[in-house]
Amino acid sequence: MEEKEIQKKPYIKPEITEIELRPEEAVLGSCKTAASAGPGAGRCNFPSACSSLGS
Amino acid sequence: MSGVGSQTKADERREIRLEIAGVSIALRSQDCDLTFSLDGAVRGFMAEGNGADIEVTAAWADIGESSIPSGDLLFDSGAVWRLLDCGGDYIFSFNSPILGPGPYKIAKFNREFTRGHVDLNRDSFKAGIPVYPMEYPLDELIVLNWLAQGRGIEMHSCGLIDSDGRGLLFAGQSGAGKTTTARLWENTEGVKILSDDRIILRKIGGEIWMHGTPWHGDAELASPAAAKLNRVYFIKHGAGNSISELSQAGAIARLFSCSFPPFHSHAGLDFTLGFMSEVAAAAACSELSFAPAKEVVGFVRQAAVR
Repeated sequence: MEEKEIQKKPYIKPEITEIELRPEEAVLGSCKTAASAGPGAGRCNFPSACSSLGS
Repeated sequence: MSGVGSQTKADERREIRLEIAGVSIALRSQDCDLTFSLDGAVRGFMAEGNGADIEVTAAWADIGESSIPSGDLLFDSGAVWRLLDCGGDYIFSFNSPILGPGPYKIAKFNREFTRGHVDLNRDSFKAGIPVYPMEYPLDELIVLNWLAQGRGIEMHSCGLIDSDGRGLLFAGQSGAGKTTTARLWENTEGVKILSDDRIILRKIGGEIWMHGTPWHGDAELASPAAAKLNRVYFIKHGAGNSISELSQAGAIARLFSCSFPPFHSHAGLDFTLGFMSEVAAAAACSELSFAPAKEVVGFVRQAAVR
């Protein structure tokens, strides 16, 4: 049987890349500009969160 | 494209139908004195028709401190909502310190997120004023959880259809430049902005499509339109314009960081990561550093055809 030449891939050292996560944004925990959460929606009188966080 | 800030309230009604990213939602009042009103961008997503993917009823309720729902806590957002498992159903409990210790709203949904009921605490709302029982973040939470069952994902992103029909997604967390991007492209001839803050991705006929949503950002741009996704840019502010390609693994990690996955659900997270893998395979993903000037539009267009 004919032997095939085995080509090895060059070793590439793994790298760790840090990706920033924003949990308060990812869980919809904050208000949004014109659709803020709760009965005080959109009137900036509902202090659960700031609208700027969610948008 | 719709600037929504100047729109007036919808007619008061006891039944509302919405369609967001192809997801139909029917909302029906169970009380004579509970009428609905839609404000802003969500009005542009009103729809007609019969049947719905998600059917929701709503009613007034007297929710006291003693009627705080019991169940196994699945997830606490750290802000207005918590998710509990109550005998196999999901319960979202919405609280705010300004409204007292009890929930101002409780929403109960089946496991499939196809049927639900919202109880609005009578004491937390002004009497006689029409409301939207699914107000943010409930509507978004329900759609996200329905999508997470093998149907799609939502991205923290600005999405637009360029004049040649190409769908471009500009993803990034708060402060990355989504609203700035929307405003730079907004008045470009032939360009349609789908959203300056939230885009839903779904697979249609083997292709990834991007859909506008009503949950807009500061630019208040929201459209129910959709387009095939061609390119994804992870944006950040810079002194000039530059693009660097990302590996598929790098793209998936960045997609995850800009998404809204169902953290309480193993199956949902599994699907989300798999779907992101499909997105990264279907569309070129790059990092775009840009200066806040109109020149970036031409720069991106040139890069897109290379």
